[in-house]
Amino acid sequence: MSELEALLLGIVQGLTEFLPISSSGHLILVPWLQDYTFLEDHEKFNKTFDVALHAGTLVAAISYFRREVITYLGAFFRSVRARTIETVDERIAWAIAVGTVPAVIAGGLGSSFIEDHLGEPWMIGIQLILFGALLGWADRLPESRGVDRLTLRDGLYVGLAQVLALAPGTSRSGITITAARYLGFDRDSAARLSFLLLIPAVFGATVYSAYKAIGDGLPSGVAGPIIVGTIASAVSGYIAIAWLLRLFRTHSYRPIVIYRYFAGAFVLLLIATGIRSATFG
Amino acid sequence: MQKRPQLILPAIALGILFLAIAIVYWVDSASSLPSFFPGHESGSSHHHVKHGIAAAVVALGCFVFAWFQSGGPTASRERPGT
Repeated sequence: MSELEALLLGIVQGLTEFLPISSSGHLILVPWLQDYTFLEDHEKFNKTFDVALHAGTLVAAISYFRREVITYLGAFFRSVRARTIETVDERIAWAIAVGTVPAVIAGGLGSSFIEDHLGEPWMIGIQLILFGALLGWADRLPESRGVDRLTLRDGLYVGLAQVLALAPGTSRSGITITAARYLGFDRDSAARLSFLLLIPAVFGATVYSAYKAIGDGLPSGVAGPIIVGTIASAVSGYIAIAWLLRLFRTHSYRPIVIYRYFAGAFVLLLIATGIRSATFG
Repeated sequence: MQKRPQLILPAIALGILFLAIAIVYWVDSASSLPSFFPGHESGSSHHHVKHGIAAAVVALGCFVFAWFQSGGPTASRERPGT
């Protein structure tokens, strides 16, 4: 893999992790469109590279939300010490913690099934359209509350929705924003909650995958692409968060929904016309 | 937050059970797991580490729940502006 290819995939990961259009789906679709099979053929490198890209987006989210992360971590530990949840910050911290649990359980139990059966381009095409339509529908519902009125039950519901994002093509940020909008949160709060939920989930997955990747050993000569990909994903991820939060304060999610329709239809059209295969790898 | 002290013992018992399940997943290979465990696979030497992590998270949740039910101040700690 060249540094340029790593740069492209890093930018794709950074942008699509936060844009509700599915990062895992695009990381499969971009090489699929180019008929680029290096990552499919080099499984060990693929896994390490995937960890590196996710570490980049994690750095982006922690950097952007550094004040919130410090505030909520402090509130979380204060609450544990006091054995009660009373302040707004404590409720938000616990809602994020509770919202992370369903994905950890489902990911732990279903990871083999997901790796073996999900993530084919035809599935990604359908899910881009299906969950795009769901986001469009939820976004038409009224905005009745902000993140300061988040409860543990809300955190659990959004966390349960996050489980669906284990299938590539759904979009983690897309389905959590959809769930939050369905629960009545305004667009800005829905996006904030979605991006904050990413931090513990991706932190856990990155630590686990990095531990496994180090244990398995790295192929030689991969340091350059991994460093380039990680930096590209961190920088593009930071820009994506800042841009999206500004955009969603004044605009609906409609452009995202339209993009998902076009991207999904494009993928299915390529498959239907035989230009690309329905499966990859 | 409403306290339910009668749930402390069941929560701890459930937490210990899930912790034991997590340890079984980490220690035993897929073929050695009891047949009713998700992930049991005859002849497989694979260790279901992620299944163990999922069980450990549930155990932690049970212990945290028991911890919160077991005490806490009676007066509100709500601060203005938080």
